[in-house]
Amino acid sequence: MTMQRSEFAATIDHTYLKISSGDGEIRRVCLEAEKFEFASVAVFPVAVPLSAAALEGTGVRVCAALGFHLGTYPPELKAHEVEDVIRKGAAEVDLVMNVAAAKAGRWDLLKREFELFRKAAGECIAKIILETCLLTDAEKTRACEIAKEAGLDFVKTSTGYKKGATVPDVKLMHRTVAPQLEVKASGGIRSLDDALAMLDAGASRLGTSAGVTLMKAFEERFGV
Amino acid sequence: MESANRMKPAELSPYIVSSLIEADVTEEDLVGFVEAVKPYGFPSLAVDLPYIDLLNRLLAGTETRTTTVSSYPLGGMTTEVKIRQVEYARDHGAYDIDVSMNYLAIKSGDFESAAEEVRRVVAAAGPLKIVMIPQVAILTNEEKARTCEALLKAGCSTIKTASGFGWKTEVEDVVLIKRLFGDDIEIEVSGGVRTTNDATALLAAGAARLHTSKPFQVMGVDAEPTYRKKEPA
Repeated sequence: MTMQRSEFAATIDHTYLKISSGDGEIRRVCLEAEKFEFASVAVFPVAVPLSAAALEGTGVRVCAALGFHLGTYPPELKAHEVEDVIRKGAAEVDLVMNVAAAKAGRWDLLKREFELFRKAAGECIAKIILETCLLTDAEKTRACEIAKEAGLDFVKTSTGYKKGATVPDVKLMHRTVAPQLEVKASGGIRSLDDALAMLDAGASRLGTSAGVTLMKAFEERFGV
Repeated sequence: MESANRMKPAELSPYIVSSLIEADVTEEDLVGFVEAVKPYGFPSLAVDLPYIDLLNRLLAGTETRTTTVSSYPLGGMTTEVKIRQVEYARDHGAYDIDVSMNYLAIKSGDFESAAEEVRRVVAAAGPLKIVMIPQVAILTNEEKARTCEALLKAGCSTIKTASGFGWKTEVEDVVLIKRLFGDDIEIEVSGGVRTTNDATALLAAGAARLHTSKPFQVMGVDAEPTYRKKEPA
């Protein structure tokens, strides 16, 4: 492991996708992200304005989690939502793809959705969530290829509301999209070993709510 | 609930909204689902926005209505997006739409913002019936009361207690809202409606509708029909 502490921190999207608390928790999560210099704070659209205000000038970006967690509404509405959250302060957008289209072999629908996503996101970082636990390997590969063709920035494994990232899935996705696109692993990344295994498999970004625990474990193992 | 008081399937069916809302539902799945639940004559079936047209076609000539959802199931979308979804549902001819409320405003004690969102959603609805989801499982009793007050003030008088997906509604929640608001609020229950006993108890407590993804279990059918392909293979 040759990674520096700051490099490791910069892989983490500090994720808060609980709905059971108010503004106070969002502020706490933003303070943590600032302290540890995480890549971003990942929140639902409704928390984007508050997060953007709390993170202004810190270098930590706001990542909006869209389509959670089913991803089933029409692509035009998704595109409108992408524009809406960017206007409100998001610099990155993680969007759940239309899984049903993949299951039905409607790759034309997926292509259209991804293209509209790219257009709506503009210069912002666009990550499409595959929800890999619902897909066959062939479907994962096809979705990754379409994401690459559409010029998205990341393919992301999971919402975290179902089964999370696996090393074989991250490897498959990385093999399919690199070097043009990056891979974000998310869901079930609780320990430093989980995190390092995902990075080793080809992920460059980690979506996790355990960022603070991971940083402490990293410091203990590798020194500050 | 004593089993002697348990409602019979024919008594239950007028209160059941049967839902098929998951990330991987295909058109084929929906056709099979409608076929399987049609004999029960439920008042409404609930599907995601993209399936409104197909469900309307499949239900043509029946009394069963099309229910859809917005900001579902988590309530994390912005007001602007909820309004777009409501307009979409209205334009595609859904009968009603279950809209998850702004949990962040509610949990921050900002009931005025929560009410303002409801006002805007109701204003966009036209003939579409708006049903707001307060997600009672994450609320204190005081928050439940204040949320319902805010809803009424904003011109919405029907709630669906929860979105399901793990957020359960207790019989006590229905009793509480009924005690505080009487008939001013129509209570549809979702989240934990899984058996005939559940259904009987919730209706006895004052629920007007019960949403379930387990209609056959609720109706006491032993062998659940298979209407979906299981994937990934």
